[in-house]
Amino acid sequence: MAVVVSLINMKGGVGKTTIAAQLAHHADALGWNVLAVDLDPQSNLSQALLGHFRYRRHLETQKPTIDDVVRGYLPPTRKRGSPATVRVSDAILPGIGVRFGSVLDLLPSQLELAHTMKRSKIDPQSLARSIAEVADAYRLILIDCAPTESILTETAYYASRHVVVPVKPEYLATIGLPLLERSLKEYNGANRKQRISIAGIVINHTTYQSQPNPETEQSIREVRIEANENKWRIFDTQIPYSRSWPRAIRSGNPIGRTKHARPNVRGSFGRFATECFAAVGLDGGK
Amino acid sequence: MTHDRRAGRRTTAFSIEEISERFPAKADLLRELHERFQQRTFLPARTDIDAFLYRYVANPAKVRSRAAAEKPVFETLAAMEHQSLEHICAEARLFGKSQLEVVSDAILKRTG
Repeated sequence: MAVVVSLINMKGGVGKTTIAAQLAHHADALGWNVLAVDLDPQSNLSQALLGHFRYRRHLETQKPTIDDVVRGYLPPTRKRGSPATVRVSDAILPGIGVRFGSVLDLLPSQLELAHTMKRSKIDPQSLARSIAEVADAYRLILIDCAPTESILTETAYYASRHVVVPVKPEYLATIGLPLLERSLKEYNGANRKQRISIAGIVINHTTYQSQPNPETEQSIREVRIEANENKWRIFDTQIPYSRSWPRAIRSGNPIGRTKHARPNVRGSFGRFATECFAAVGLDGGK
Repeated sequence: MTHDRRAGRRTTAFSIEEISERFPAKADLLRELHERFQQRTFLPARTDIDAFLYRYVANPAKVRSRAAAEKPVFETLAAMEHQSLEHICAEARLFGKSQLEVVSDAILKRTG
């Protein structure tokens, strides 16, 4: 049975998608059956894992996506005269990782998800029900959430056991933490049968500087205060800023296989991944 | 045998014609990819070759140079299904071009 982990922060640009993609590659390299779920209409996780060519091809083939899964049916099209049922397994793209024999699967997203959110009421439990159909096939399921609180955040909560919160050490990137705390508290209050907890906060985009940066230090201090108040763990490993991260995303590669990525960047992500997996009850071995 | 100067060692001879004769249905695609390989618009760097072999070959051997990689790369391509080979060819044709507009067009077409 899989462990479901969501990457959430109400702020955009803190590294949710990059970390989700890299954790997925890391788990794949360990040989763990892993499902990456793209719950963001921007579809950046799908693009990061598939690369532009395969993502475009996927759109052109008109295969189902998470939009169809949460809506619960395939709409009529030129080829299909009536609505049709859709199962999550129809939408999952198998073995999309970068290694031979990859066991990394993807439930891709598409922009239409934003329209579905606007025009209709998504059942926030739909994803949880769909994941229940396939959970036995995986060891880890990672959900990459959209920034801002929306029905999609609630949808992720219903399906998740753990939340990982990426934070950049900048003022605007940290003020979402109290919002997340309130959002989770409200959710837990209304769903007492479920246990969802914050596995940890990961401080992303730190820089190695000979001179301390007062703004960075203050932001980290504030994150620590907020974490202490809520008894949230902060992962020991911080993920350093590197020009290799965008290169890894563009090439669709794990950071460990990205051209010119420095050993300290590769190493720090590996340490973070080990820490993160242990925090959600997963450790080495197949 | 051919001589791989960068690696300073001899490598097994490779002939695109020989491999095309063995796989006539895929010959055109293989020749096109071979031409692109020689022009460095397909797998331009050794790291790209490493990534290609990592994706498509079980336990790939480390390649020492582009020249030495020619044979394993084209043997791998020749063994692929026709459709996969077509996709690789289509992707190679986009080398050096911006994909931003193409991807956004595909997104809007899908959602329009």
